[in-house]
Amino acid sequence: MKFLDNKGQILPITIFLVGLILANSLVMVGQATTFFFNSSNNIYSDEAENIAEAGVDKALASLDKNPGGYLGETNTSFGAGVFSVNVTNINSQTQQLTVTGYVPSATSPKAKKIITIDVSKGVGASFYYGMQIGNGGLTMNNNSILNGSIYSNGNIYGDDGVTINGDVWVAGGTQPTADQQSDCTDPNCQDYIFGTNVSGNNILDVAQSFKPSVSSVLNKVSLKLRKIGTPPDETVKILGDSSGKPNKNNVLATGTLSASLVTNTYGFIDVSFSTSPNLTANTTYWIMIATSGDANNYWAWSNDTSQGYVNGSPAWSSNWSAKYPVWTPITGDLGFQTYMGGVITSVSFSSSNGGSVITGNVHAHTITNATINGSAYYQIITNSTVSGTSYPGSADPPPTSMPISDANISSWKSQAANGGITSGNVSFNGTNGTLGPGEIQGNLSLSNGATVTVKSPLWITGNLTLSNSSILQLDSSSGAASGIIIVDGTTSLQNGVTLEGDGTNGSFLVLVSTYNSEQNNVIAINCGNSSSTQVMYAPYGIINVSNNGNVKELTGWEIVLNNNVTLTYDTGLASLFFSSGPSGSFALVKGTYQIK
Amino acid sequence: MKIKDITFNKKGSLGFSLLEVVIACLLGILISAYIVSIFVKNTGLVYQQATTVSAGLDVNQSLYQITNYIKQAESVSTSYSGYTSSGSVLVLQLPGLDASGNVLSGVSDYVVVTQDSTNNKILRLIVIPNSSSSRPAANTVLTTILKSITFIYYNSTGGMVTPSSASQVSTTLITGSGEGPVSSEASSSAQTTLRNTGS
Repeated sequence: MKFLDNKGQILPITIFLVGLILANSLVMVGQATTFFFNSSNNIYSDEAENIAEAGVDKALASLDKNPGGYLGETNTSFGAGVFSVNVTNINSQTQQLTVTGYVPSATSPKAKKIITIDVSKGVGASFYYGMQIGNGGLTMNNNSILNGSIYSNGNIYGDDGVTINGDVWVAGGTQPTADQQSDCTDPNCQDYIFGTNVSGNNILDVAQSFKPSVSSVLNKVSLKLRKIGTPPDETVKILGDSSGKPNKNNVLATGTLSASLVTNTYGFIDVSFSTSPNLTANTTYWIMIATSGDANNYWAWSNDTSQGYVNGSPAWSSNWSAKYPVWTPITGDLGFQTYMGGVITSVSFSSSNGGSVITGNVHAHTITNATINGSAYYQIITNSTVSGTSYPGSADPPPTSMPISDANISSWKSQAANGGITSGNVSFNGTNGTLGPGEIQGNLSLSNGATVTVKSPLWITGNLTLSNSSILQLDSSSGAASGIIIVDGTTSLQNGVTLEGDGTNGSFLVLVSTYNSEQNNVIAINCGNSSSTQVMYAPYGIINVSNNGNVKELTGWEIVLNNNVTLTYDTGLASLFFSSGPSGSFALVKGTYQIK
Repeated sequence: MKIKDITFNKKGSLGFSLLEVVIACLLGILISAYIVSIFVKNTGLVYQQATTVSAGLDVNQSLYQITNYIKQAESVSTSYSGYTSSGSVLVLQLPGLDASGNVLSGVSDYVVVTQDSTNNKILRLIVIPNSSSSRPAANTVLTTILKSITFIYYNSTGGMVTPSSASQVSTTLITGSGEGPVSSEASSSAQTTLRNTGS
């Protein structure tokens, strides 16, 4: 046929071009497929890791519920996969959890992640700042250095040559005495149980109303609580009033009740809020605790059955945020205290050209003579240099709660007393020894190079005196946990003395002073020249650190750093763990978390 | 010798007329242009998709490795071995490991995430173990098509803080390559809590 005789090149050219286009398309499809599988694998890996994390949470809850009997579990379904838990005893206090998450199953996993972490029964505390100061404020003398951040509820004053390598917060000042309060005396004290089902009622949200006597900001509240079991942190809100009930549409402030500060015996627990609400005198407001409810882990609020508080009353609800919440009155008055603000606070230095500098950001009502490398948040600023951004008209930071509560300290004292009581003074003069756990009903003194090993907790009802290169060190059996020495009297740490942990990373020996300097202005903890201490805590006391002292963290009602003192914050202090304790629960031991 | 007359007629014609040639050329040019444009667009699409895939793969893998180390970190270090934590450099302190791969108390390793010193399109993850730690040292290239990496540091309540005070780190990673119509970009971010430090 004639058309078969046609000659030309278009067909091979066409085939070649089509082939090229096809090849390109195949490459594109291949890469898209690779992307799909890679993304899928990443998703499976993330899922497996999250499933393992869920297994860790489940294991913790199971250990708290059944400390001796929970040995792990296998192939528990969760989400898109399963997890298995293996529990290994490390010592009498600590166990290691190995949790494996699989997606979709252990028999044919597309992804597998293993998380190992140690857990131990005890109490955790968080020292987030290099220094945390109460209403007494902070004084930093010539050339003192802080490598860390400061949060102060009182004024900060610095001399020449002061360096703060961190951020500074000065909270709006709090009045020293409670504006409104309610408490009970026996025999009119009763538990008000909430956060669980009581006689068929889900009593989950409880509130107490009050009327402030002055118009001002509300800086903090204290609630008289104890806990049963191990409930989690709870949300606390300040609400307006609507026809004698909490107004869910008028939330003035929100804060967190830290479960770690609450023990199984009553104590007033401070709650700070993220912002300080402005309240009007003689207007009804409500303090509300909102819980999620648990049959075994819940709360008790101290109830004054004599109804001694005349400016308010309590009520409960199953769901405060429901469309039409139902509030039922409670007979009595729940224990609380409210503290108003309105005290002007400041951070100031002796002169603007004295060489003092803050390298981070500053948050304070008033800033004077400061050189700030970061940004400044203030209402009044004078003779100061700000290298970063200035934010005039900023609200005062709210006050912050202390990281250890009075209830915690009471618990440790009880545990110490159970460890044995020594009556009379105890001293080590150039000799070595071991103390604790126990109570010394008297004074303790170490001198002339004495080295004493401490088993926590140790409670000294009198004074503590260390001199001439003496050493107090935590016993090595503490592992990654820290230890406590509680002193009711005054503490004098003289030249060259050392307080230290057991050498394990994250282990510290914390000196807690319950001495009240607010009443007599006597120093609670006096650190002498060249002393080396780690963590000192004096919620009602004055801590005075003398020349060339070296510390890691200070928390006190008032703090004075003398010339050339250096404080270097250790980030491990953000998650201290104290082993045992009567109200302790199982907690993750920070520093042991691993993903494999 | 006779010379045949060569006349134009359909039967037995030799060659093409000028009109036929012009029409054929025009058709050839049009068809070729169409085919070439298809080929060029297809090739461009391949390159674009390839860069998209590459950028996406790098973002996913890189962010996963970074967040993995953040989770296991004890803290964000202010500085270590010449590297300083900032908005574009992350220096993490991790627990050391023993020979069995378990946590070694009292020993710290460091992990640095930073752009290459000579080529800012290369993102490196550098593992600097303690001499007592069994964690292997590493200097890994996470991506060669980095556009930007940003670290923001938060405390437990979500407030922005200096790196050394952080208990959470927000990481935003953008990768991409190519210029003009075949360029492509992928971004991803994550906020990760340091599990071995304060809550």
